[in-house]
Amino acid sequence: MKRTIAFQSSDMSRRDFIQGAAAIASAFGLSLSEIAQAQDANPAASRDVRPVNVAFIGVGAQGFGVDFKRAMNVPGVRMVAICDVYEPNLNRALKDAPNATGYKDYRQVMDRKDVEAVLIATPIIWHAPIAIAALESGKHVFSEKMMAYTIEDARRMAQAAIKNNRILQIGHQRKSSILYNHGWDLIRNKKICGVVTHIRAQWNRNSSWRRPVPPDTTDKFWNWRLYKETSQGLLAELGSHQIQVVNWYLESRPTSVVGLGGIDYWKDGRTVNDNVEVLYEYPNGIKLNYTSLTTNQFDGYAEQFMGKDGTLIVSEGTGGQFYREPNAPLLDWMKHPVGGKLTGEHKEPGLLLDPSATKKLNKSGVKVGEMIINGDVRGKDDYQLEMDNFFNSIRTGAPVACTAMDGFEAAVAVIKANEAIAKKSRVVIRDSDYSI
Amino acid sequence: MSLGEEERPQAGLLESPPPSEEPLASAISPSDFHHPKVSRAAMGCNFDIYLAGLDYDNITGAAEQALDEISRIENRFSRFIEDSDVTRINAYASKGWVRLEPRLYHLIRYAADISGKTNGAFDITCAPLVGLWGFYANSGMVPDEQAIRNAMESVGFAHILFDDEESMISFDREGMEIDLGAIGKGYAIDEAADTLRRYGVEHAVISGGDSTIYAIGSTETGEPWRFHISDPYHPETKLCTVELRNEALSTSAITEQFFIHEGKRYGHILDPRTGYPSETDILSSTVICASGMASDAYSTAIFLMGVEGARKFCSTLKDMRVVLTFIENDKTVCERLGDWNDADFPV
Repeated sequence: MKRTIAFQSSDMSRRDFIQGAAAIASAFGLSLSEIAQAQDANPAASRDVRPVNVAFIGVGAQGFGVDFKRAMNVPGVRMVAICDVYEPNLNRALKDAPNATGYKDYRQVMDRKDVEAVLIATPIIWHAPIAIAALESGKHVFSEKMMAYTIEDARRMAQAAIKNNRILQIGHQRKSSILYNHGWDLIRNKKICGVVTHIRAQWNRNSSWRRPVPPDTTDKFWNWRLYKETSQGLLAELGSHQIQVVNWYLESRPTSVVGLGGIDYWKDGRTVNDNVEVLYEYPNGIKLNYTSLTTNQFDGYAEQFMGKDGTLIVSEGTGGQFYREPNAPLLDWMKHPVGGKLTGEHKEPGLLLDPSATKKLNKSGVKVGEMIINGDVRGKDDYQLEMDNFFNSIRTGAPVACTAMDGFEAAVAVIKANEAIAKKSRVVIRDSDYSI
Repeated sequence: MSLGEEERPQAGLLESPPPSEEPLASAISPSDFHHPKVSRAAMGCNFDIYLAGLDYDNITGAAEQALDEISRIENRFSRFIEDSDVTRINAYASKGWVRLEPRLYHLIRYAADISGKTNGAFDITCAPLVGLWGFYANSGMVPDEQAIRNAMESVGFAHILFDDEESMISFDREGMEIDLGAIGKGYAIDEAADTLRRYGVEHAVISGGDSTIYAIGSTETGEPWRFHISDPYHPETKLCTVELRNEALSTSAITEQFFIHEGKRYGHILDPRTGYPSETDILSSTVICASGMASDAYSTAIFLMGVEGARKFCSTLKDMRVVLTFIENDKTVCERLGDWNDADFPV
């Protein structure tokens, strides 16, 4: 079998890396058809793809329940090593990959010369040490979000990717989403909102965020998200996804942040806030108002882009909606909405890009908002598209959807917001904070 | 062996829930059972988890995790969800090979294995027939014979090709589709049971629409979990009682969805061997065994075999207990088949 590996240019500089990320972001919103074609466009050939030996580190709820399964759906993926410090999780995953060797210490995985790619879904404090070790040993890396626990850790991850000329993809799966790419196109190219001035985003739940603890482990180990020494809290675990989307849609990043938060309801020993409200400032006075609650689920999770000509709401849960401002241009496609019409609270004209409409984007030839999808990605959720993208990049050298820079900028914004909440003052985020 | 109508259950046994629109041949909902119940709608029914023996927070937390697992499985297995794995299979497997994550691959392999053992009475490829008869649209219609013959061209587990080494499947013809509805609920309950055990739950019952049940351990007092098997047409009449410990139970019954056309009743359980709704003389078939996916699939297959066919099929069964209900001398009776110990069947 012919084996072809095309990596990024070996002399890629740090500057190129950053610019490359922006260029990829620009190009990606225009190439939905390419996303589709990168998938199983030719399933008959899926038996002949070049095998990729993979190690998976961290097979817990997200790792095993989501990422492991999606990776194993990708033709040619050979799971040869699985690592987890919690033995029941390790054994569960090994049952599904009988040819893999089990490890409890990730450093042993790095010694495996036959491993080409490492997937990391550990608690956040372990992302950087594992990713850097993998990149230094010449392996490509997919790391779950948020990229790292500290800015310096995230920076060192990106540096290691550049230095070793390896792929580093961060698990903000919306970057691989057909819906979110469609939203990007509507905002950036169709400019359906006109000049965007404000963004509201929220991830609201009505639950403690505390998981029951198996009898053979500890609360601190199992509920690592609830403790400051192992977690950056709601903003990292939930908000980083959405802040990354805002950065992407604005092609920008925040310059300052103020915020409030507290442990005000779930006084159960946790040390991360159970509610956060932050206000980011972007260039040109654009504001992002972000909220995450654990005591009320109203509005669920979504990002709402508000511009002079309209408001676009995108959500993994509820799909997309567009509300046109009364005096804004009425484009032809708005007269014939796929998902039906609606009106807002003040009778402003609305266009429902509802879940059923936006999901139709997964079908070939469907037209919504002047967007025609020519490929066919039926049966693939955002996580699957993300994983397909990662392995396609390894095989072909094509860019990953969510680059190290995307993940890094989101992580910087989150960590600075937590700093602002802790200091109870405005924190300026300088260009140097974003430099790698 | 035929068993006559049974007396009302003894005090302390679990009683059936109130009759629903779709009377069930087995059910739980004990009047003297006060343990917490956590419920969620999924896979077109309600999943209920009854727990006992742990502190309340852990009980409900573990149950929520188990229900989350069921929801995740529904999202991957539903043929109606556009980004599910089953949608991916149905979209691509006629065109080439489709790679599947191991659990889904082995589930489909297992389903095909049951199809072989039941001579096609159970078959996950009967989706084209289900659509043709209007059951997906909840409408119900009688197709013409030619349409059924055409649909049958795209039905048959033997047309699924497997590549064990690569965990890939493909269909050897166009128009094929799979539907995991007759095995997915049982699989989901198995996974939910595993989740509960991981959180240390030792006493619990998981019920999927009261048609598939898994009993973890025993009751708090060490007794086996007991379930009634009812007359499908008169669910208030309990015909017999069965006991479970770390086992699953599934029931397929004549009283499930149906429609009437020109005075004839058509049930929603289609016979993949004929292309027509079942004309079985069994009123309900209940299967008890170690896994929910096996009990789910075999209860459907045995139901379609008819009483005589079921007797023959079950004569060699190991590690599986079966209870049929049917009409004999104008009376609903139940009969046990398969691998029974008398202690399992406290009639």
